[in-house]
Amino acid sequence: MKDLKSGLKVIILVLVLAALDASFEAQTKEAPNSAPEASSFDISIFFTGNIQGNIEPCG
Amino acid sequence: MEIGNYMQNLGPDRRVKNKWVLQGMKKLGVEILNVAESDIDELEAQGVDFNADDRFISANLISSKTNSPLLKPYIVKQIAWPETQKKFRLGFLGLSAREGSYKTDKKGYLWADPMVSAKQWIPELRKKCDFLILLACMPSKDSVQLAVDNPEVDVILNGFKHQWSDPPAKINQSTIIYAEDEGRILGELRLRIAGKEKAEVNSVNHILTKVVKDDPEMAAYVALAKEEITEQQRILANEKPLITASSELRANSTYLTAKSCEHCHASAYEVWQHSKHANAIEILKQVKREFDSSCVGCHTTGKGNVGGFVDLNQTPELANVQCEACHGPGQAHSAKPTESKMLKLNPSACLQCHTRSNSPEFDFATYWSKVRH
Repeated sequence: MKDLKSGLKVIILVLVLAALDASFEAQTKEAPNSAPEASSFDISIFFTGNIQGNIEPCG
Repeated sequence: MEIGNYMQNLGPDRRVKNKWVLQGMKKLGVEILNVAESDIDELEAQGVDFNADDRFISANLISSKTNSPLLKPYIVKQIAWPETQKKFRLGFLGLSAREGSYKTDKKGYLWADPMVSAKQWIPELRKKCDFLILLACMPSKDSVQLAVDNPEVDVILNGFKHQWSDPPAKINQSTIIYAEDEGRILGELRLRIAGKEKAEVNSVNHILTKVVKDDPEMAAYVALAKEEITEQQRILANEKPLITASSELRANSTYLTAKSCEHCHASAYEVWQHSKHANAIEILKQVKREFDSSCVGCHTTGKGNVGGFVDLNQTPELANVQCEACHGPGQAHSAKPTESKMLKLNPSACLQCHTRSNSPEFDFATYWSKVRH
């Protein structure tokens, strides 16, 4: 009987650990989407100034 | 983006040149255009419908009827964050200095103080965007003042007539990035965005020398533009001199020409005669641009001023960079030499024309030695 109880405890412990592991795995898989600010991206904005009607400079 | 002063506001050929520049910027995909003092009249003359065309902004161009901005003061552009539905919002506010002294209120608008308009609109835009960019068409010292007064601004893109593109400057929270005169350098603002509150700012100047190959489609467009612009200038050149108009112009003019200076300033006159200033119009003739109104200002005398150079047909005697081009009209001084003095200049006066764009090798000491008088 003792052996049976010990066996059940081990099985429950394994199941709990497995469940925790699964939960942790799910969390880590979701991480990139739930926390996008952790990543970065680059943008470029091009600008000019004072063209003053010149399709090309005077020379 | 264009910071402002993309339209030419003087000269009979301005309409045809502005038409091609405006269409060209649309073709290139320019999405935001700050409207500056040189632009508004010409944009209206080109028939731009500001209600239908949402690319134009200005926070300090005010309708004299409603006392509110004539155009949208700002634009917010959204960029999708990679792999998510979230947006990063870029806010663009337009401000421009009023340079001229003429009144514009009769035309239905007036220019408000850009410093006051900045205080009015920046807090509102700050709430609507994650990154605030100010397009400031004004002298660089004014953009520095904007940075000091408005720490909520992330980037100030500054440009103004005859102003060089100095290295970027960091003032308070703002980075000021300068555009080169006449669009000779393509500026690139690079943002590395790492969060709502985090964006790393860098800038690159792409100097558009002949080594940078033209896009074939745009090169064809420019060729067409130059053909029509040159044709318009050729028509102008072939017009008969307007004798009556020219006489009236000269009768009311306070410009006397260099010859009038010779009597009292013989040695200075001789130095000038042997300088490139005395033959400045020839440089334009060599490239067939002596009737290009945006070029002749730095190759003639008094262009843009009452009684100054108009064009080679009407005022040929004011061609070349004569004494009065730098020292101002001489009539009053000639009449009363001791009472009325000519303008005394400092080296910065040369930079009106000897910009880095037009005169990249300009060095005051070297150049002054050639015209010292």
